[in-house]
Amino acid sequence: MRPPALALAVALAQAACTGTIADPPSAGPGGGVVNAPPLAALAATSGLRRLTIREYDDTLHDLLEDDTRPGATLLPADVRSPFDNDYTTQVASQSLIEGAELLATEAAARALADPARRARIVGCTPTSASDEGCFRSFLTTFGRRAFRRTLTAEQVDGYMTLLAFATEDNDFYAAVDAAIRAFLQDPQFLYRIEIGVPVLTMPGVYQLDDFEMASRLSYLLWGSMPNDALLDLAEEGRLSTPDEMRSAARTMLDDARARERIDRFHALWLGYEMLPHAAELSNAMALETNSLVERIVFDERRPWQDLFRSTETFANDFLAEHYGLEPPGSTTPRWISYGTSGRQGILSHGAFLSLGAKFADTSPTQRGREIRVRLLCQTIPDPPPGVDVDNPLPVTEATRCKKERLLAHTQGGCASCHSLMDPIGFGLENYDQAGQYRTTDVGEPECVIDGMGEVAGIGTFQGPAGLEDLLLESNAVNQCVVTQLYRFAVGRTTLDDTDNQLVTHLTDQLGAGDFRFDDLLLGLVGGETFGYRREGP
Amino acid sequence: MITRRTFLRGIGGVAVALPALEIMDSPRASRAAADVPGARPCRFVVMQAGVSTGADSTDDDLLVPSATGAGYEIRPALQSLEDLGVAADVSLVSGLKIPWDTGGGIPPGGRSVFYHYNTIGPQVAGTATGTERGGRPRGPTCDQLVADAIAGETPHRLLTYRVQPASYVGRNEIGGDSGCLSWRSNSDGSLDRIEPTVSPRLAFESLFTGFAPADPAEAERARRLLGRRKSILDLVHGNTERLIAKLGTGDRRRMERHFDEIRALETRLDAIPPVVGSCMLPAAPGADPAIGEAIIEYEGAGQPYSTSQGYSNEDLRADVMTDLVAMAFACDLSRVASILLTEWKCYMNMFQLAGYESDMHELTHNPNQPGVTAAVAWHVKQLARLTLKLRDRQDVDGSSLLDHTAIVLLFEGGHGYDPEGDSAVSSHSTENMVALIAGRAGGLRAGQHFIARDMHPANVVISAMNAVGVDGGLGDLDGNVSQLFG
Repeated sequence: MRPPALALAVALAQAACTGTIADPPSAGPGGGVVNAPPLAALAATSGLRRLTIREYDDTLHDLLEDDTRPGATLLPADVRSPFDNDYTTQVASQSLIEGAELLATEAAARALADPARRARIVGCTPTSASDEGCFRSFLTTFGRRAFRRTLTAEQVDGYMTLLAFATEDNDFYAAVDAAIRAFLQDPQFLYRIEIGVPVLTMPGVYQLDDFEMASRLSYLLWGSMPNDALLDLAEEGRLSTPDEMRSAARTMLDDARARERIDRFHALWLGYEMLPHAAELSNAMALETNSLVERIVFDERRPWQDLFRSTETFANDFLAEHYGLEPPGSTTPRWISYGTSGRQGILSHGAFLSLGAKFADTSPTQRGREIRVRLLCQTIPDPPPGVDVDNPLPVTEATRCKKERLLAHTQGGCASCHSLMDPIGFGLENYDQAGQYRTTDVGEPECVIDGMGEVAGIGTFQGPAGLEDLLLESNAVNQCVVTQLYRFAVGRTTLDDTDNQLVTHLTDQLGAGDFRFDDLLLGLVGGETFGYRREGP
Repeated sequence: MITRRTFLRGIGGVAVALPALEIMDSPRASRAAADVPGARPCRFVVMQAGVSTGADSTDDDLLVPSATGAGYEIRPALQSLEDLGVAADVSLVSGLKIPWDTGGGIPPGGRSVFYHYNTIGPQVAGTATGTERGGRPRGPTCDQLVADAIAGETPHRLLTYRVQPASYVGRNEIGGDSGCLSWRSNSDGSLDRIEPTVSPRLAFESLFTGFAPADPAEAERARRLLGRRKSILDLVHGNTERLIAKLGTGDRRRMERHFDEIRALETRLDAIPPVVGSCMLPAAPGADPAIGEAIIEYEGAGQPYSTSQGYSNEDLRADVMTDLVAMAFACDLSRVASILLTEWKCYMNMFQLAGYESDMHELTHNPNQPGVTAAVAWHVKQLARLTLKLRDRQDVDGSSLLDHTAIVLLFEGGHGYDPEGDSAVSSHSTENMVALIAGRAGGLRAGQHFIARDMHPANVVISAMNAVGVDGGLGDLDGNVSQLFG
C-alpha cells in the first residue's frame, strides 16, 4: 500500500529541512523494525531479479575464475528496454532450468580440471576422499560466495550429504563437483533475492538485511557478486546505515568492475551496447566512448555534463581518419583534440550517431525519437494505423532531397509527433550513421544538408555540439539521467508515483546544473531509501 | 534410413557410422500406445516462418501451383518437397486470409491494419489482435492445447524450439514476446509466454542425456551420473521449497513457476529409461554454431553487404532440431512440438542460404520475388526435412510415424492488398496466404493442393488439431478445411 500523498510530502519536507539521519533501526515485536527514516516511505518496489546473461557470466568469473562467458548460448535472451535487467520481463521456463543445469555442470568441470584453480576454489587440502572438515569448510566459504550470504547450519548439512559421492568414487572432488553444480542451479544463485524485515510503521515496506544490501551494492556498481570484503562487512553488520553504504560504495568505485559497469550503463542507456559496423570500427567506437565516460566519471571526476562538452576524443589513426580528424600518428588510441571540426562531446561519437539508422541511412525521425526517449525520458507514441514504417518515403522529382521528403511528416495529424522528432534529427544530418561528416545527401550531391535543427520547446541548434550546448543550457537532461540510473538500479523500466517522487528527490539533491556521476551514485546508494524495499504485487 | 551426415557436421564432419534410430516394441512405446486407449499416439508440430510469401509491387508468384488436387506442380518455392521426395506427403492450402479491421472493428481471429507481428497470434492461437501494435497471442496457442490433449505421460509434454537465435538487427537480441511461439494459459486466465530452447545442444541434452549407452560399463557409469544429477536436483528442490515459503506474494508466484520447472525436470529424469531399449541414443550434435552478429546496414563507407553476419547456420540448427523432434517422437519422449523457424520480420542474411546479398525482410520490400521465393523455399525445406525424418521412422506398430502426425507450416504473411500502406500488391498482406500441412494423422489427405478461398490460416491449424484428435476450434475460430479430410 502506498502512503497517502500528504504524509509523504511531510516526510519529504522533514528530510529536506532537517537532513534527519534516523535513529538506528531497532527490532520491533514480531520480527519487524520500528524505526525507519521518513524517506524509507519512498522505497522502490522490488522483486526477484534473475541474473542477466552479463551478470551471470561476470558472477561465474568472480566465483570460479571462469572466463568462458557461457551464458549467451544457453540462457534465454534478456529483453532490452533499454536496460537488460528489467525483472518484470523475466519468466522462468524449461529452457532456463535446463540451461542453468548444463551451465552448472560444465562450469564445475572446468573449475576442477585445473589443480591450481581447484585448490583456490576449495580452500583446503583434503586429507582423505571423505574429509568432512575440508568439505564443510569449502561449503561454508564457497556457499557464502555463491549465495551471497552466510549459509545456515542446516543448509551446510544438506550439502554434506554429497560427500557420499566422494566416498563412492574415492575422490574428494566428486563431492565438490556435485556441490558446485547444486549451488549454481539454485535460485539463490540464479536470482537476487530480497526479502527484508517489515517496517512496522510503514505497511508494505521492508528493511533489507546487510547481505541483501551487499548484493544491491555489488550488482549495481559491479554487475557481479559481492567480494569477500563486502560479504565480511555484511557479516559484521556494517552495511546498515547510509554512511556505511556510502563508504563501501566509495571503495567499490575504485575497482575496475565499477568502470565496466558504468560504461555498460551508458551503453545500454544510449544504445551503443552493440554497434552495427565491421569489428574494427565498432571496437574503436566503443573504446572511444567508454574512454570518455571513464575519463569524466573516474579519472578526472569532472561533472558528468562534461560528457557533452569534451573537446577531445580517444582515437587512433584509424578512427581519426574515419572521422576526418587529424590522426595522432599512432595505432593505439590517444586523446586528440576536436579542433575546429565542429565536433564536441559524446553526441559526436560514432557510437551514438549509429543509433536509429534506417534504410541504410540516417533517419532524422529515429534520431529525434532516440534523443527524446533516451536523453529526455519522454514518451513518443507509436505511429498510428495506416502508417507504413517499413518502407522509405517515396522519392519524386520534387522530393529528391531527404529533408523535402520528410516534409510530408509536417502535414495533418503527423505533425504533432513528428515536429517533436524530425527537427532534432535534421540538426544531426551532417553526420551519417557511422559518425562521418557529410555535406550532402547520400547519392544526391545537389541536396545540400543545412544541419539546422530544433528541439521543439527548447531551442534551435546546429550539429551535435549545438544540441549538447542546448540540452545543458536548458538543464533538460539532469532529471533523465537520474531516472535512467534509477531504472537500471531497481531493474524496472516502468516507474510508479513513488519511484518518481524519489527520482525527483535525488535530482533536487544534486541541484540544478552540473553534478558528478559518482555523487549521483553515492546519493542513491547512500540515501535513506536504498536500504528498503516495497513488496510487489 | 535418414542420413546422419548433416547431423554430424557439428562434430567436425567426421564420418562415423552410427546405429540408426529405430523403435520397436520398447516398453516405452507400449506404454505410450496404451495411454490413448485403442489408438496409437498422434503427433503434432507447428512451424512458423517470419516472412511473407510474396514481394512488394509484383504479381509474380513462385509458390502456388496453378492447379488443385493431387500431384500438384512443384513451383520453385516447393522444390525441396521434390528434392527430398515428400511431395506426396505434403498438402498445400492456398487462398487463405487473415481478415483485418476495415472500420467496423477487428474481426474474430483478425488483426488491426498493423502488419508486422500482428499475424502470429491470429494464426497460432486463432485470436484477434488488439488495436495497438504487437500481436502477441491473446489465448493459449495450438501447441499448448494439443499438448494438453495428447501429451499423455510423455516426459516432454511439449518441445518448444526456436531455430533463429538472434535478430541480426539493432542489439541483435530476440528477447521477450518476439522470440516465442508458444503461450500457456494460467489458471487465473493470464498468459505466460514459453521461452523456447534455442541451443540445439541443449535441446539434445534435454532429450537424451541420461539415456544409457549399450556398453554395460558405460551404461553403469551413465546410471551413476544420472543418480547424481537427481541428488543434486533434490537439494535444489528442497532449497527452493524453503525459499518459496519466505517470499511475498508476487515473488512467490514467480518462484513457484521456477519451481514447477525444476519439478518437471525431475519428472523427466525419472522417466529416462534405465537400460537401453530399442530406442537408441543418437549422436550428440556437438557445439552450437556460433551466433551471427547483427548485419551492417551501412553503405556510406562503401562497405559491401556482409556475407558472414546475420547468420548462425540456421540451416544446420534446423536440421538438428528436426532430427531431435523426429527422434523424440520415435522414442515417444514427446508428441508435440512448436518450432519458431525465424522471427517475424526476419532479418536473416540470405547470402549463405541462397546467394542474395540481402536479408529476408529486405527482399520483400526491395522487391525481389526470386529472393523471397528462396526464403520461402528454405522454410519449406525444414518442413520437408521433418516430414522425411518422420516418414522413415517406424511407429509402435511398424507403420510410418508420419501416418500419425500432422505438421503445419505457417508464414507471417501472404501476397496481396496491404491496408496499412493502401498498396494493391504488397508483402505486408494477409491475403492469399498459404499454409503447408504434412502427414496423414486422422485421415488427412496428403500430397494435394487445395484452395480454401478466404478461410483463415488458423483453419488449417484447426485441421491439424482435429486430425490428431483434438476436437473443436482455436481461439475465436472454428472449423477445419474440409477438403483436407476429403
